[in-house]
Amino acid sequence: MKEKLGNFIFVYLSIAPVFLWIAAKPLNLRFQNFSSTLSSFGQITGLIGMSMFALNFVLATRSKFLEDYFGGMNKVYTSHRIFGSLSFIFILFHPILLALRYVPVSIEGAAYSLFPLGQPIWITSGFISLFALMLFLVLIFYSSLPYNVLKFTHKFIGLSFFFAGLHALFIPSDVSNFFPLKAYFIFLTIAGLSCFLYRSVLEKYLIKKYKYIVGDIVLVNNKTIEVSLVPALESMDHQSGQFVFVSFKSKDISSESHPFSISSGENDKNLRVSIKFLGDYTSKLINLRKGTPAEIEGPFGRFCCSDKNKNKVWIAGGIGITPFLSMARSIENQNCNIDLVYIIKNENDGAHLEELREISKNNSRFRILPYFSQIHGRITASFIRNVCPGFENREIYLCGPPQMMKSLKDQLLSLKIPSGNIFSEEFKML
Amino acid sequence: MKWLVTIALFVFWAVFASTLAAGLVFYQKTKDINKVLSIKTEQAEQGSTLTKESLASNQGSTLMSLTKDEVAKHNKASDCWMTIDNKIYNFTSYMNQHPGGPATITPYCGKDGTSAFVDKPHSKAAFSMLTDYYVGALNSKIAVKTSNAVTNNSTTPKPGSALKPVAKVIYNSPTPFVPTQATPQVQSTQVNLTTSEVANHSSLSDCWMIVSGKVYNVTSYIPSHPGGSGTIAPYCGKDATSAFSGHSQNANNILGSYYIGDLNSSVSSPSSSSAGSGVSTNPQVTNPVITNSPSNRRGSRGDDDDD
Repeated sequence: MKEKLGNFIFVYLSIAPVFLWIAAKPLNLRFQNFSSTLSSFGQITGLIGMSMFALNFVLATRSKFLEDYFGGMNKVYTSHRIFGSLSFIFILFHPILLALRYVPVSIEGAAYSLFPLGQPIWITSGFISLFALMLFLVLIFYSSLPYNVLKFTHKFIGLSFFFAGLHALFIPSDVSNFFPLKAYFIFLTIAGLSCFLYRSVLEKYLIKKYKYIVGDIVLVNNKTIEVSLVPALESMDHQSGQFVFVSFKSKDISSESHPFSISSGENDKNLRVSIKFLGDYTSKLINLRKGTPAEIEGPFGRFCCSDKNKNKVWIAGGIGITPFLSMARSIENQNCNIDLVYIIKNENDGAHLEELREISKNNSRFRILPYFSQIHGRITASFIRNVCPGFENREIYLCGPPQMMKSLKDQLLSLKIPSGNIFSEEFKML
Repeated sequence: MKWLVTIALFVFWAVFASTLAAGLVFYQKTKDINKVLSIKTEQAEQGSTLTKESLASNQGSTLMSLTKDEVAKHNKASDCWMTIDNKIYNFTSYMNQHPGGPATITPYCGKDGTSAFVDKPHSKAAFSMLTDYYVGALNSKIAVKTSNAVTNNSTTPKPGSALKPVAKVIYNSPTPFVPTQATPQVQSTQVNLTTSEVANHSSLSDCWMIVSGKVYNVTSYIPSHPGGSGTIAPYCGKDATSAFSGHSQNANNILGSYYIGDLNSSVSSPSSSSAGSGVSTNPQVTNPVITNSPSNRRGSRGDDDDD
């Protein structure tokens, strides 16, 4: 239950200013005619958009306490993306609704109010914020810029937020006239800006990072390497199924941090991550050499076993095997029967397949069921039901490409598997 | 989520672009309409106000009808009139001082801004500042100075030209007084200071109140009230004894200078008692002339309801 609380709290905090706004003035005055109704909706979108904007910086802090309330850092980031998009939509409608209220009176007036120049500074700062935010979101959603450039542009969103804060606090409105609302927005703006500074500017000084050094690099198939990281000083404890942010300090590789699933077992002294050459960044990791320093932030994630005594089905697609590999490597910590369905194109494509077979040989409670999609086509949930006895009462863990996970999740739900028994690791971050 | 953002972006730019485009088009159109409108009103005024006009022109001034059409002519930031609660204000000099910027006022220039004014979070000070820009009541007439050179054809000031109502009152009232809904038409009779009479003076521009059995006309004091006019307004026309009780000795002294008479006593010359009210502090527009009667007020109300 606790892991669902985060979203509730954040949604509540986003709409809380609307309640204060209602308290500021009687509603019949706010909705007495067309103009005032549009104006009120314009204000509401502004209030919610600004609150979500501010709260989204809190979600982006990667603070560990958020994990308990969202069920893992990857879920925090999912919420971050949804909140960011909603905030943007609200903010887009804010000037539109406020301008349209003038239409019954004067169309020139409406046009004039949408024109960013020649207006008081607080209105102009609102427009600056809006257009900066728009540029930023268009880059994220529609451009194919490399990850490190996109991450860099994230720093400018702080600027957009700064102008949004000026606009919200100083423009003559209920926020500036009604103290509780003003106090709430001062608090939100300060919270948002400090979270932004914490994450982007003060990151170096405030966020704990473990120093590691790249050890052995093993090629596990033609597209995947497993990198072993040796602690330089203090080593980091982790649970199976968690992930870390790694940044390699090498002139051949850009230095921003990227998330990787941990593939080493819980008792492993070294930290191991499996990396598939997929995008701009990961394909550069072919240049990674032994002895390269690395900084690790983490561990994050809650993709572990909720009930140690319940039988489980693990479903891995491609590189999605990584968290299960970690669990299999510390299989002695699992007190249940486990079937691992490993979906790969063919025998040669399966990273770590041999090692997993080896573990299965030595442990009667762990079965490995490779599924070759090149031969059998797309996997279905009913196929999994047929090969895994007692399927209906097991906990089902999913990790793989987003499309595969979504399709399997839908099929599982239609097979009447309670959603509380399905655990999935969506892995998409920015 | 991506498609939602796409739709929102699309809607934003569609509305944004079409509003700006429509604004440009209408800007051209209203220019033309205004030309026609100003000619029409001039003609109408020449007919209807001829006698009064001639009366007025004898004194170097002319009468101007404060009609909706007249207000409509002053419809831009550089010449901005507005009707608020059936009273007409000239906000031209105020535009750049508006805390919300001129842009938020401009759309209402030449229009009825009542609901826009009331439903914004305007402070008490804003309500009292209104009086500084008062021109006259809707559908009343005010005297306007005309230069000797102009003929009857140009009695209506062109938009943008400075309107300077003269201090002279056209009707026979010896002292200028302010239009209020309750101002008695009588000029000099005995008035009984009953609670119901006090209740007649219940607006910011005509505000009587009872404190400890005495009746005061505090209209001219309202703009100077440290707590803003909004804190007084609710007591206009009422007994304010308890509300006033916390005030300083100094406040008591000030109150004394607004004394009219004891409650339930009888005083003469109500016109002088309601004189010297809020509008007279107006630096630009002094003492507009009133010709409105209760009946045409009702008429104008009805018009507004249709809007």
